[in-house]
Amino acid sequence: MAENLAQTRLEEFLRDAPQASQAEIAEFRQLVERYFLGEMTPDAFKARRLHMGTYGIRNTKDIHMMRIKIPEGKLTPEQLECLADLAEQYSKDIGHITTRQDMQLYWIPTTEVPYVMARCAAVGLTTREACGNSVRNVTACPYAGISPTEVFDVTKHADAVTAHFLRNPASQKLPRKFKIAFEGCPVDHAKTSIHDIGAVAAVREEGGARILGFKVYVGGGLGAAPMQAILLEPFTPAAELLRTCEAIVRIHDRLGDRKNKASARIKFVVKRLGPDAFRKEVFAERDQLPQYRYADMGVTQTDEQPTVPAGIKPALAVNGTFKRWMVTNVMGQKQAGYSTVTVRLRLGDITSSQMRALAKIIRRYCGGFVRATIEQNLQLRWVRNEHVAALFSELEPIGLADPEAGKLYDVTSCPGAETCQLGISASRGLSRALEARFKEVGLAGADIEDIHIKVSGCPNSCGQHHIADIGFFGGARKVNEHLAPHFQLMLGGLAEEGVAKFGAPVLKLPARRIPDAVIRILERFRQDRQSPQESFRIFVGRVGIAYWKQALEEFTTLPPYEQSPEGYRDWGAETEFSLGGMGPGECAA
Amino acid sequence: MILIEIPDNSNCAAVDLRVFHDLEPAQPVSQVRLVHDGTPPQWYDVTGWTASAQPCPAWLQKVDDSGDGVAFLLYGGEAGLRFRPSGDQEPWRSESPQQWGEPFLIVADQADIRADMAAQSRNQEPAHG
Repeated sequence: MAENLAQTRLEEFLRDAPQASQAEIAEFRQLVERYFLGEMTPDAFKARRLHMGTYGIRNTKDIHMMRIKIPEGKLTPEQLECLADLAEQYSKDIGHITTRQDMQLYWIPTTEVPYVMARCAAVGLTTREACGNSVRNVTACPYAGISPTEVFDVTKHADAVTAHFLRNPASQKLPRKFKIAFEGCPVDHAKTSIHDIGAVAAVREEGGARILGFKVYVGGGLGAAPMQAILLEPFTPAAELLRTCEAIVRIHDRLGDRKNKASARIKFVVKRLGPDAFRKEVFAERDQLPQYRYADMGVTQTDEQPTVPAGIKPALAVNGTFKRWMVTNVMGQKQAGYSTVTVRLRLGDITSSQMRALAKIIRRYCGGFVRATIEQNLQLRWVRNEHVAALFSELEPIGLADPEAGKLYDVTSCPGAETCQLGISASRGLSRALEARFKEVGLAGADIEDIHIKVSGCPNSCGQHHIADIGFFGGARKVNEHLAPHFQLMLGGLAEEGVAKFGAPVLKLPARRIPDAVIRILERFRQDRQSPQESFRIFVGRVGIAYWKQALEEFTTLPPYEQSPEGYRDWGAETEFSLGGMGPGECAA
Repeated sequence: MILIEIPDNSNCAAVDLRVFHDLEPAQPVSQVRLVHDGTPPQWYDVTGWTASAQPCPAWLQKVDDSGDGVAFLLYGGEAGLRFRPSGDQEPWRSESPQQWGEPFLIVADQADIRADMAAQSRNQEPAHG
C-alpha cells in the first residue's frame, strides 16, 4: 500500500516533467531497486547516482545530499516553492545556495531520491550532471540583462550552452568535471578566469554590422593546483559559440589524463601542451564540428517583462539598517525606474518558510525574476524604485533584509566538515564566528568593507579561498600533543576577467584564534597602508609575507590543553576535534 | 581513512592535508601505467620515498571519488612516490634524470596498477592510514 502511494506520488510529478527527465528518473528508480535487491554493486550504483547529482553525506549510509542545478542562477517562484517543500520534507528546513549557483538539499534517503528528482523535473529543474565527470551547472553573471555596464545580456547564450551539453553524449564521461561561466559586465562577477571555459561578452563591428560574440577563456581552475585561464581567442562569434565549447570539451575528453585523476582537469591539458598547441588542437577540432546555431544567437537584451505591481504602497525608510541596506544591497538597473536588490543569505542558507515568503514577494515586486549568485545570495530584479522601501519592510520580518551583501561581513563558505565528506574543519562555523566577532568589536568602515573573505573546509577550494582578499582552507595540526583544527591563511587573491591571482599562503592558524587574527590583519591594514587609495591587495603585496608572519605569530599558538580544551575544538563543536569520523570523499575533488 | 600531507621535500611538490576514504585494505604496488611527459601510456616502476631520500613501499588503496564513484589512490612515504621507466635497471636515487616524484596519484582504472607480489608475501602494512 505504502509502496503504491509512493509510486503514485512520484508519477504524479513525473507527468509534468520533460520527456527526457521522465525516462531517466524512471530508469534511476529501477537502479535504486536493483541496488537494494543486491543486483547492483554499491560502487556501480554510486557512479550512477553521482552522475545524477546525488552525493553521500558524512557519516551516513544511504542518505544523500542532492545538488539541484540552477542554470545561470535563474529561479522562478514556482521552483523556489518546490525547493521549499523539499527542504521542509528532508533537509531540516534548509536549502543551501552554492558558489556555483546550485541549491543543495540534504538528508534525503536513497529511496526518496527519485521522488525529489521528479518534483524538481516537474518545475523544470534537474540534478542530472550536477556532479560526476560531466559539464556541470552553467553559471552566469547575476546582473545579466539588467546591468548598466554590460556589453549585452549573456543569459540566452548561456541557456543555449546549458541545453547543448545536458545529456549530450560528448560530455557524459569526461576525464574530470567541467565548469563553464558567462559574464556580460566589465567586472567579472562570474569569475570566468577560474573556470574550464569562461565566456565574456564582446561585440565586433564588421562592415557596419554589429557582430555578437565572446572572449573565450579556457583552463582556469582552483583546487589543490590553481591555474588562471588562458585566452583561447579574443573574439568567438556567437554563431561559433556552441561548437567552440564542444570542441574544448572534446579536447578535454580526448587529451585529458584518464590515468591520473589528480591531473585530469583540462587546465593540465593546457599546461602540458602550452597555449599555442592547445589552441591549434581546439581549432582543428572545431573545424570538424557542425556550426550549431541557436535560436537566441542575436539576443542582446533581456526578455524579462516586469509586471505592474498592484497594491504596493510606497513606504518610508523603516529603521536603522534600511539606510545601510540601501547602500550595500540595492543597485539601479539599466532600465530606468528599476532596482535590483540582493537578499543576503548567511552562508548561502535559506529556510523553507523564507523561500515560500520570498516566492510571494518575487511575484508581487519583481514579476517573478530572481537569480542565485556565486556569493551564495539571491538577487531580486525589477523592483520599482518607489517600492524598494516597501520591499525592505516585507523582507525584514522574514529575516531576509540583512545589509552588507558582498561586503566584509558577507563571508563565503563551503559546507565544510558539517556535512561534506572531504571537509577537514568547520568552514561554516568559522564564518559564523568571524561575523560574530566583527559585530562584537563594531568593525566597520569604507576602508575595509570591500575586503572579501572566503573559507573552504579543505584544500579543494569549493569556498574559492584562493581568490579572496583573505582566504582560509581547513586542515589539522597537533599542538601540545593534541590535534586541533587549523586553517591555512592566504592573502591577496583576486579574480578578474583574464586574471586570477591566487592568495599567497601565509601561515596555519588554529581555528579558534582566527577571528582575532583577522581583526589584527584589518587593524594592520588601517595602520600601515600608505594612502587611502592603497587597496588591501596592493598593501598585502607591498608589505610581504614576512610582515604578516610577524604580525600574526602570536595567533599560531594555543594555551596548554588542560587550561583551555575548548581552544582545541572546532567552531560549533562540543567535543574534541578528530579526523576519525570522516566519511567518503565524494563532494568536491 | 587515509590522510596525506607531504611537507616540503626534494622529491615532489608539498601537499596540504588531504583526506581520502578507503574502501578496501591497502596493497603494496610495484608498477603503474601512466601518461608522463606527453608520451603514450606506459608502465613505470613505482616506490614510496622517504624524507631521507630512500625508497619505501608504495601502496594502493581503493577510495571514494566524486567522478566515477571509486578510484585508486597510490601513496608512499613522507616524500611521496617516485617513478622510473619499467625495466630500467638504474637503482632508485634522487639525482636520476630518468626518475621523478609525485606526492600521490589517483588512478582511475585498477588495470593500470600492478601489485608488489614480493611485498604482499611479506605481509607488509602501510605505516599510516
